[in-house]
Amino acid sequence: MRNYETIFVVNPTLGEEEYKEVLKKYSALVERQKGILIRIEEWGVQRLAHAIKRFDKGSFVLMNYCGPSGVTSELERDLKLDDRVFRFQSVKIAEDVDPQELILKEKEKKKEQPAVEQEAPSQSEAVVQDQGNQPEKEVSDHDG
Amino acid sequence: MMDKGRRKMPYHRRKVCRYCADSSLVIDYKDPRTLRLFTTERGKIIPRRISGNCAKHQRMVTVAIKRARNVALLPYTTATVK
Repeated sequence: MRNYETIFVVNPTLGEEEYKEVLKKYSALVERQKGILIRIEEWGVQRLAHAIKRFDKGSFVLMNYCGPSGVTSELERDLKLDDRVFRFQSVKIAEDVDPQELILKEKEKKKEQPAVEQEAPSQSEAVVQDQGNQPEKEVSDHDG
Repeated sequence: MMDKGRRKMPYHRRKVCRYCADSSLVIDYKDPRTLRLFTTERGKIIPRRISGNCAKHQRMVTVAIKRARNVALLPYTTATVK
């Protein structure tokens, strides 16, 4: 089985329920294609580095899963048709992996996490800030 | 004559590829903060001769930056913002 990673940007104005539904839909889709979900990361609403469909914010979701070669094409076909999803990108991480092994690793990571968890949110905030500052700087450059 | 020519040569020290120097560093498109180091303020990718990366890692950085741009983690350019 191959290990894939798909990141997608969801409309940030969706309600909580609809957002959950999007997540559910695609995680179910992976499983229906005989894929095995390893983890889903929700980054929350983040500022975009460039506007997509005139939105300057987007909600990021990262799915890491294993599956046979057809999974991504199925997933991408549905993502393409979905208005709620602005952008998606799939990347192959590894070929010939054992999904059980990855799941185990993931569990271990989670065990370690409580200590690390406090660090993580502040880091993502910093990223948002960083991106927020960038355009302003450039604008002032233009003025000068 | 020869000396003059040599004196005019600008001093420069060859930078070492940071990814070769520290193999624990990973190049990841999901990490825009690190990738920012390899782009100009305008968002252009900094060439190898300036960034000091080796060919292999520069290639990986380039791919990562392009992927990050695709999902709006990095800007293509900042000229559109205004």
